[in-house]
Amino acid sequence: MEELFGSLVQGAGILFNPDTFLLTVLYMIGGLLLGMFVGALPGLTTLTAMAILLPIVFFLPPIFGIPFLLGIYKGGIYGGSVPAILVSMPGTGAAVATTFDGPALTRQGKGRKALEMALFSSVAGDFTSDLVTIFAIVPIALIALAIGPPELAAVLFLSLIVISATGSGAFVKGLLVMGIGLFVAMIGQDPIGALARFDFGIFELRSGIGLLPMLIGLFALSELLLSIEKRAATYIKAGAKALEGERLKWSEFKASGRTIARSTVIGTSIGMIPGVGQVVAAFVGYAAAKNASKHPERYGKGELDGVAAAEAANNAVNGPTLVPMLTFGIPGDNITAILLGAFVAVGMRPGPELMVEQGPQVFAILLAMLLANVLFVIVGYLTIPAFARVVRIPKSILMPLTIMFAFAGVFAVRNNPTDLYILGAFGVIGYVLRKFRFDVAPLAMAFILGPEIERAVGQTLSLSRGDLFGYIAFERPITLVIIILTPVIAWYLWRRSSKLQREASALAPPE
Amino acid sequence: MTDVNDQPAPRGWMNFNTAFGVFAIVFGVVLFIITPDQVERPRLLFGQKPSGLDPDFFPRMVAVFFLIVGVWLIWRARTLVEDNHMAALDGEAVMSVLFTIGGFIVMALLMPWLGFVISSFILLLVLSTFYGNRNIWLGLLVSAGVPLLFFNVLRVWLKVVLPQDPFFPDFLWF
Repeated sequence: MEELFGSLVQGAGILFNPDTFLLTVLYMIGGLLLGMFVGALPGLTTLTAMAILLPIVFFLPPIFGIPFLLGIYKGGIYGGSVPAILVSMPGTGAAVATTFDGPALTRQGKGRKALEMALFSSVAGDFTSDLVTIFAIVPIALIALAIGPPELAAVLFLSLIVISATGSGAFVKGLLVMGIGLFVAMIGQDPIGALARFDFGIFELRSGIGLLPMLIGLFALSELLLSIEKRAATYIKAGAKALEGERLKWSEFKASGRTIARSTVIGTSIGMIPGVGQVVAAFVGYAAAKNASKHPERYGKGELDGVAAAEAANNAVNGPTLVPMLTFGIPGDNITAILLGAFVAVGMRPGPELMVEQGPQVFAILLAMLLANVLFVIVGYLTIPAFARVVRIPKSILMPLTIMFAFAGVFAVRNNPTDLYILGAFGVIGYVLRKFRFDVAPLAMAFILGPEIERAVGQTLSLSRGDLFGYIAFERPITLVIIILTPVIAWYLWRRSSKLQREASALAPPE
Repeated sequence: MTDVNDQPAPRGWMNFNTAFGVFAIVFGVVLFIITPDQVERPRLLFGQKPSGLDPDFFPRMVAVFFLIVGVWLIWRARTLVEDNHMAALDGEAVMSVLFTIGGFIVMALLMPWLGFVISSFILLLVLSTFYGNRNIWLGLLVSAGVPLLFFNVLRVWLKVVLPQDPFFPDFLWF
């Protein structure tokens, strides 16, 4: 415990180092602006932005690269609310619930008020959940430190099952996609004996499938193919006029304090369940605010509280999703899968050992998250008018540019032309899977966790010396408990996630 | 177990999920069979394997997993009624998607040969026109300017070199 506290102090020293602090702040501001820009563009999501810009992180020190990516994350979730409020078109899925009241407020000439409420409630939700994250990470890291290969194998297996169970769509379809991810992870070399396998005689596959082309293809290019179906020539006619009207008053923000607090608790709790995410949090936060309101009839007709409820909830998800990723190396959703890739790229391997080996760096990054929220208020407040104009940029230009950035980023990392084909192939695979109602998240998770599970299972088998059952039952009782509890936990979380998704789809407008 | 998308369905109803279930079973069987041929044999050290682990163990576990999930999916497909979004695509959507995938292939083919700037210029100009940009000057400006700028920013700022074009090798643009 003292060591971890020492790491926190050292982390503050790394972040506030006078030689690098200004650059860190500049990278974070850059990330926030890019995230808000992409989030504000309907058709491009926060996930797309993070996937496309991930290669930049590969060439930066951790204290610049990770805060840059976190800035994109935070900015992107808020950015999605800009077109949602101004033109009733959510820039990201997380902003769908914001369209219930945002456009009505804009029609009443309160567009600016709504955008400011979205900004401040987003920051309030995000900041609080980040604080919870910092406090939660210490005890969980201590638990993570006590586990060995058998427990790790069991926890990783449990996490894969949970991710498949709590994702969108049917559980069994999540499991099938997870199997595909495990297979793709086997291509190249096995993690124990470094034996070549499943290269099918193709030399280029001997080094395996790269994480970056897989992630960018699966998340960014597939998203692009989906939004390209209706061509991309459209402009969205909105603009500065929509921002006329008065600004948010302190009394109005204060009046929504209870709603923001409730949504923050909801968002933080949902963030702790792997795979559920911002979209569900926003809907649940909105529904809870409406239920608790003395005037529920005002919701959907331009209620500021409705905007605050959705925005505080979806941003409060951001922090807690990082806890299992940093302590166990388990990404809870697509965005944390990308963040995991970024951590690995900068030489920080998330998992039980991370807090011991690189505790100060981790705490520096966590403190940077808090700082990013402070910057977010300033940057967001100053740039609201500019981002209100972003929705006018033609998608016919933006879509090809996104493809170009994806190809450039993938090539820059390994200078391997094969990665370009892998990128395109995963773009098509992701698109096809999503059209057939498969959640692609378990594929990415299984790809990332597959080698870790295989290594842990292999080490467990070696340690058991031929008596696996006896070893687990008598020498590793915690492993046995995790294995026994796996179906119970998966069933409970699956039920909870299904209930939340059902509530969300009942509120969501028809497709 | 019922999921979000569960609806009552007529007995014996077949859908795309059934096809994916069959695919999973076939894939599992094939994976199980080809595993010994596709996994390199460990070299023997002093007549013994360096580790006591069978390298086929994990791949075969995955193969069996596919088999189980395939059977389960076929069973679930009877009540899991979902719209096939792929079948619902209209002609314009199919054309747009295929054209874009064509763009991926062309970019992957051209980038190592023509360099980043020229291949990006072609990609941007063709795709933006296809997607409906009719302002030719804007199209040309973006197609030429952004790749050039990005190429140099990466080169100067991040010290990353993307494929140089064969016509002006070692030429620094600014």
